[in-house]
Amino acid sequence: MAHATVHDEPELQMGLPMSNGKLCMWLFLVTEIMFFTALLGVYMLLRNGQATKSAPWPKPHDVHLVEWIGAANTFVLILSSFFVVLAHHYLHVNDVKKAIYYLAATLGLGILFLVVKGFEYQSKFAHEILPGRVFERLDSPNGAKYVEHVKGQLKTILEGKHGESENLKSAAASLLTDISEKRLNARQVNERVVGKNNPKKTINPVDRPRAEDSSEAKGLLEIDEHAHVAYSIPWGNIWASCYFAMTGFHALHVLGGLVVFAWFLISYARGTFGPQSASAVEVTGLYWHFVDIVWIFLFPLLYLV
Amino acid sequence: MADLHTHAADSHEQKSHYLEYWRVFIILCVCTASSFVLNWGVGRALDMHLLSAGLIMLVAVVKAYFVIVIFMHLKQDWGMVYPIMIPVVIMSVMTIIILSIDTVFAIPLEQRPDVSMTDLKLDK
Repeated sequence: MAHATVHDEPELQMGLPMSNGKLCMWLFLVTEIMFFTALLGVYMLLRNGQATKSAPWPKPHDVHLVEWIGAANTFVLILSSFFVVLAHHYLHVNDVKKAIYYLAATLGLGILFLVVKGFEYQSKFAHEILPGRVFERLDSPNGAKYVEHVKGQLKTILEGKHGESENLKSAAASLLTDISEKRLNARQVNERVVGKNNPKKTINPVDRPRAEDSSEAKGLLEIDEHAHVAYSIPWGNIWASCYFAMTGFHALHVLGGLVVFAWFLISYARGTFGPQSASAVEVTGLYWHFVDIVWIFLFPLLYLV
Repeated sequence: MADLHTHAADSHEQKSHYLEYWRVFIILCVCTASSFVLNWGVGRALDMHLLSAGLIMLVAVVKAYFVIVIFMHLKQDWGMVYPIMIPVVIMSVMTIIILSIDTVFAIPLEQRPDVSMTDLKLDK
């Protein structure tokens, strides 16, 4: 007598009713949330913990940050995020051409964001607002080093290689003479560089000369706010470390997203991009929106608050 | 017939998503402009920096909420991703709070020992 064999194997079931790609992206994003939370948390700790009334945390102008440029870059990223969701939407309704237009626009906006960031970085390098390169607290041995550094920069200004104005050159010459004749201490040199009441740069109490030593002469940075001459920025080094760590990691993330968007365009040119790519666009979109969210917090923390 | 109904419902849903994306985009632009205005108005003109900082960060949270919920489709996917999201949200909020207790909430700037002022008096 034959026995019928009954295979009672349980059916395989997926853990979650979503694609593997999407689940992996969400898992990746939660690790990213913790990574950027740590960076932002440490920044807040340093920003609020170090500063005192006489040596407050650098204001955006003190470190060559312009609020409206930060706001414009925020708009660029928000618009790019909006374009990604539209690209995904058009893939859903089988309009591949419109989807690829929006992805190309997203790529363009991402590149624009990085170009603006590049100019911002360039300004930091030009003015040496870099970790370990900023002069701060002129009452320390740093003061003598600062004066020597400014002497070198004044000589370069006098050479006029960068099209410096005559006004700037004459102020630089007068300051150089006063430094060479040892008439000024580090705080007085800093004041002559910045200007006593420069609305765009702060001289904190910790670096202000005594009232009787103060000078009414116009500061070099009042004559030309882009002049390449160093000034004291209390907490400037730690600010620069935080700024480059946070915006640098963010920019790397932007770059990563751009590589994927470029890949979509290449796939379209090869004819392999279509409605079947909707899932890939959605997953990339999740990543891109996260990059946008990180900037949503970086912008106010660095440029406004 | 049933297919036609499904297609019509799907098309209607896509259209409502499309309008929602536009709405969120406009909200995000308005929020960005408002944080800029808060910084100039409340922060600088009225000189209330702590209030302006708090409001600006609140606006950032609102912006992040809209991006996550609408653009990242968390509204639809919450039922699936909440087991990995909830612990991370708790951990990240706790990290920020713990790192901020001492420096943000405990000692106002004016009451901090200002070592640099002492140095100022000693130094010529």
